Amino acid sequence: MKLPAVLLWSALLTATSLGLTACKDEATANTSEVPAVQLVESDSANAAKTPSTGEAATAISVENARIRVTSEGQTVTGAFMVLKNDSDKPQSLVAAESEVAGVTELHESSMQDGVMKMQKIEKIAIPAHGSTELKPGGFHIMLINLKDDLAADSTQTITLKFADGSEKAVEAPVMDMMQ
Amino acid sequence: MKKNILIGLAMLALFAAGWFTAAKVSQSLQTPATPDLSSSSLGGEFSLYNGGKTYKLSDFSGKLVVMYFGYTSCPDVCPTTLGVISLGLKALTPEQMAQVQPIFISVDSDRDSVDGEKLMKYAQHFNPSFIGLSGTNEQVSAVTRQYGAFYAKVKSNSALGYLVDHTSRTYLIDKKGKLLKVMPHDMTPEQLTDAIQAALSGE
Repeated sequence: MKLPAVLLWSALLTATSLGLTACKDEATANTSEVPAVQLVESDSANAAKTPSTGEAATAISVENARIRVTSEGQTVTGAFMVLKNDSDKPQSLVAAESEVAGVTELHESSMQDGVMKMQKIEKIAIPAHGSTELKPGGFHIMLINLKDDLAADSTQTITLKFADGSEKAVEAPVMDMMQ
Repeated sequence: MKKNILIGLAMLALFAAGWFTAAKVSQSLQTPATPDLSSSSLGGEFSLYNGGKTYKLSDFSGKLVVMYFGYTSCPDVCPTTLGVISLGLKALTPEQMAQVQPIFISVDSDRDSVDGEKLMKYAQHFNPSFIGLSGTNEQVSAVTRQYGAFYAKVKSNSALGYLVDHTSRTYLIDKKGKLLKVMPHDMTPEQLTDAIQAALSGE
């Protein structure tokens, strides 16, 4: 009873591996057992990863994180970055924290009828397999009640908090951003 | 798996393209019409202060004034536009710069008229020639009305207390105090440099 099941599995795997390698331009040896084994490995690795995509901190990657340098005595500044969601489900950033700021909030600036408006928002959505950019004039993380001036070329840690309770620490360099 | 990645990439590209187009469209739709200066009475003398010192527009007579309205607790839009102004000024020759006076007017009179030094430092962060001015509520509302600027303090649940909605245009005032040009919020540093150089050479 066990044998046919094994056969069925290997047949399935070979079929899948054939189907996959067929996509490749460079036709590698598609008859050997090796790709099938590799496939099993990568699939199981994937399987192990799939449930964890439920965790936003794993699914979200961060690019181009930066904090705008402050002028002397200035007690607020903005942090910007690109949030990429590699998972199948939408994620949302619901809060952020940093040691340098007494309060950290999510804000959105928008131009309405020629007037620039800024408001505090509850969350920033990152679509499944998509990305959301936090940038000047749009979404940003507001660092309020700064404890010190933030010098250019220093790096500060911002902890991102997602809707599912997971957290991700991001290292953000402080920069001029005048470009 | 590879197919999934390809589909994912395609979706990402589509999303990005869509977003970009939408952003462009909304930007062009929402960019305020540049006020028509030919027949307008916009502009004129104003009186504001920094710390204990009063400044009038006529104090800068003989200089081309580059003026922007904002507030120091504005962490996003103001530094973005001030950064553009900063780069636009940096491209000038020292001779040209000597003929230019950048002025930052804070519309947040409650917070920014108190600490003149902080206001000045905020403005000078973007160019050492900047002067940061504010005034009483009446003075600030008078100068914004004169220049067709708009601001409104808006209650918010932010730790900042209140936020200030405001127009984000840059004003060019000639050496005789006449409003010359109003630049939109999405101007580039090059556009500002060109406008300043044209104003300086067109006298």
